[in-house]
Amino acid sequence: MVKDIICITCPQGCIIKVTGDPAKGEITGCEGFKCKRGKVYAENEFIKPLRILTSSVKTSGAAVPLVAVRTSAPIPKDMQMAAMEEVKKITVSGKLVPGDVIVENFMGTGANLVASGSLD
Amino acid sequence: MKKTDVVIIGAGAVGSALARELSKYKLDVTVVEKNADIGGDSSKSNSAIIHTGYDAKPGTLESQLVVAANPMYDEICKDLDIPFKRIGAILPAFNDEQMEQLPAIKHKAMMNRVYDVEYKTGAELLEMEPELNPEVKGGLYIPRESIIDPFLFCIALAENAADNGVKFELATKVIGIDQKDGAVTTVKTDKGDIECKYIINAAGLYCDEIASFVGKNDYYVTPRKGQFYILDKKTSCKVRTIVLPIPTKVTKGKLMCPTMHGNMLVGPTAEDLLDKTDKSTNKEGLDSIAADVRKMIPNVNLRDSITQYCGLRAQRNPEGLNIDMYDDLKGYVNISGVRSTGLTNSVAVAKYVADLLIESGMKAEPKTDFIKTRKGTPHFAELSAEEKAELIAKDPRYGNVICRCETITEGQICDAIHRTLGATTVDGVKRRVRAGMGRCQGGFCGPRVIEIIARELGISPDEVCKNDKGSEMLKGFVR
Amino acid sequence: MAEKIYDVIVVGGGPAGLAAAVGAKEAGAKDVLIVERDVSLGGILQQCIHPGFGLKYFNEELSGPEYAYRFIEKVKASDIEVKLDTMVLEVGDHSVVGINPKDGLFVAQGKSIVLAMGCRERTRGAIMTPGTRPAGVYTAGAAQRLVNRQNMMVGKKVVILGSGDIGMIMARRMTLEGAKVLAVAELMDYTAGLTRNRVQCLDDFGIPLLLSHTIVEIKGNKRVEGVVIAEVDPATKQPIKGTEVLYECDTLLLSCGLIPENELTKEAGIKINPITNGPEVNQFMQTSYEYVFACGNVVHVNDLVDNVTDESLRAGQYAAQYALGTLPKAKEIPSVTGNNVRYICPQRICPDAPAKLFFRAAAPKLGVTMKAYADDKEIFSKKLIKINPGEMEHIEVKPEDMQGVSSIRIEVV
Repeated sequence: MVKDIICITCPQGCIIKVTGDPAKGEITGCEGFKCKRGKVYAENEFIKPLRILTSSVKTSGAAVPLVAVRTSAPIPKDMQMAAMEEVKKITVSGKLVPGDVIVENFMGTGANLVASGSLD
Repeated sequence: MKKTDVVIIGAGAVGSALARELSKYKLDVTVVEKNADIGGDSSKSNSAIIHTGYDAKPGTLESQLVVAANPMYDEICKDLDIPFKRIGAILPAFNDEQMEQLPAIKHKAMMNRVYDVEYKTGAELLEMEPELNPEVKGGLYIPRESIIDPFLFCIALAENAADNGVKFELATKVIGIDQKDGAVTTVKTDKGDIECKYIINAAGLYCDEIASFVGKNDYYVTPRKGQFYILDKKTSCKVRTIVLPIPTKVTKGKLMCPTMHGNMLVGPTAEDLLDKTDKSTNKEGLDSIAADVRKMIPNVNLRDSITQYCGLRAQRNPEGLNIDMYDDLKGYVNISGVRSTGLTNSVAVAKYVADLLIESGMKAEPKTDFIKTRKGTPHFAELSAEEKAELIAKDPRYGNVICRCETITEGQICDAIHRTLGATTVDGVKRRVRAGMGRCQGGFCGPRVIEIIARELGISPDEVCKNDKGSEMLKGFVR
Repeated sequence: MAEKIYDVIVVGGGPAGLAAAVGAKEAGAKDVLIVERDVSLGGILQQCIHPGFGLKYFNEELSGPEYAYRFIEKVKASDIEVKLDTMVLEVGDHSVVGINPKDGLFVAQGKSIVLAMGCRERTRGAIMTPGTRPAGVYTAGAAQRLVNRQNMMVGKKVVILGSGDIGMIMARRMTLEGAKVLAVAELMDYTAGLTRNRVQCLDDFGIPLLLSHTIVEIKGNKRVEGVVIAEVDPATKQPIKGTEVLYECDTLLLSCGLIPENELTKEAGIKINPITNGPEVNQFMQTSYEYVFACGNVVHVNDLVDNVTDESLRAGQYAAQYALGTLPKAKEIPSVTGNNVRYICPQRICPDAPAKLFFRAAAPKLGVTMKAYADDKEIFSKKLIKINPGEMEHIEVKPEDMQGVSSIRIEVV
């Protein structure tokens, strides 16, 4: 499999060509990068692209209807839509500050779902 | 079934003026309006000018009524607490051909008894209007051409009528008229029938369709589209008067003038259409405005436009303002051919129709308790510092600025919602107190206005409409 | 109210205002006041719940509210006074006139004033999109507030005009929250926002990006029923007849550029730069009125909040120095735009102090060199693989290079 990956580590936006088998975690070729960070980014993006998911959850008994949440670490890119379904089910109340854990080991990703906004 | 003496169909300028005029008498009056708010269609999208009638066709009913209406505005606007300014119009000529047309225009003004039209030299016009094309050779000055807030005008007339007992059935569409023994009996609407003795068709653009319910549609109405630009109050090139072009055989042309609130208005186009619902602007039309107005005001900066809109004038075929009663259909008044002079002549049409009805035998005893005046929502931004402080002390909501472009407070928005015939929609708030009328066009205040309307009316935010039903601002909730 | 005289009054409590107030306090200002029109501090960051903030300043990836929280905590820990829910109506002579429900109309006196009002979005009216005027046309930022803070869904089937960062970020947000985003149309032949947003907001979700396209008509009398998208000639930007395609949708979001919010600045008579639409400043972020400073997007629209923070901390610091009488006063020289440079900020430079000159290119280009000249003498040169108007660049100039010269010019060749 060959994939063109637009590098986002700096504004240059290099197009990096990665070859291999992502299912096996195998990389046979990587070209077009202009720095080490770019190579690392492209290889990770090829094997297992990760994203921080952000959204908001419903509040109860608060002055504001929503509070912002995020995953404490990046989660697999292809889990984002499924994760949203879980986020939609959550309601929070009480005092929250950024970083407060709402769901530990969110969907088994190892990352927590944490508050990213505040609730007084 | 509801019962009333008089049904007025349409709550545009003419319908609203009629409602107020008839509310001076001991009559039960009901206004039926298809839109969710006062202001009709053409009455809210026009050049907002109160004309003198200097250029009307002499001897016509339209010219008589426009000329008669203009002097009424000082008192009406004072009574109804709405802004009105006699800023005057100029008609500059830039070449010999145009100069040669001036005497005929002035003569027509004399025929219409608009005697205060004056010649001006090029130098005089440039002094009055420094942004004019310096090639101006001379022109005419029409001092009583004036500007008004067209939204507030209709709303204030209707509010005052309602305060004097007139009922308004909004978002109600007339679907038929019943008659019996040569007289009207009932107005049928999509919300039920209303039994009545008199029906006045003030449906403007749709007056031919209403007339067809009683077979009096010996004419038809086509829309004539007019597109406009509104420019930022801080635009680089402004005019002080209404700058009118010398008309050509084809069109009255495109003008530039200040609005009541200090913006610049540039337009309109004149495009004959068939579709009465086509309220879309288009690039060709807007571009044509630019080209034409630059001939008079070379530095007009249309990039400072904050919005563009279009209005539909009701073009009667055959043309001309007609107000008719019929021997074979008692109680029915048909008003047709109200076009660009309609905003101006509405108040005269109202008096003319009232007189016609009384002459025809309608029992109408004047009220002794008619409330002549209306107090508008405070114009917070225009108040002195002391007045502002006083208002906030009385009602802290006046200290909460919601629309920052126009400095409109929560207090004003709540007043607009809770007053007689109050706003129920985002456009309704905007037209009453100008929240969202400024340069950010509701970008900042829009989300807040939705919340305030929902809270004050006790409805869900996703029920709040821009204007008519079906124009909901939101599609449910996120969570 | 008592006649208190603040050292520094900051107009706006967004990222710029927060940093300016913190900077002023750290530089020794005693009485500092922040005036903020919203119910909470943080400004636009409160609705920017997406990640990507702080990579430069905090070396970690934060969401907008998290980034704001760090500065709000600093403000709370200090004795900086904050007036929330307060609109400034006027910037006067060493004073601001404000209004809120609690104090009513008030005047606050300040030895120096920092303008940090941020920016607003270009509207449909400003970009003159023809068509009808139905409900369902929102600027991306207004939609972002409704969705992320007010829990209100603006639409289910969305087209976005403009590839600014907020537009692309809203494309992802609307998708995550259950809407279908049909396309993002961009007039230019390159994206207006960051590559990172193009990848993570559009490509990740398979949202088509239509470069060199624009909306030529909005349809629908009550609610948006569709938009007509046409291809434009890249040279003239005029729509090409025959390329029109109708996209049936209920919502149009606009992300067509930001305009510094300078109504107060203009009203006060402060000199505005016609290119940036913000006040002209020197490297101390001092405007044409020496007691008025400005920072953040009110000066020029930034790509990264990290840069805003950096600039605003300095603005606050210099405003404090001015209030304390320790800011040097010197003759200034202009910064001049050369080849392929759209604007430079600061526009004025005091040659006795180092200056960081931020600038944007006029057009994207590959394989360029950015150069600075003191009069005709080259004082800086750096090769770049690529320059893009969407990403701000900067050059640092040293005092020794500026002595006795009449201007500093930047060019990209």
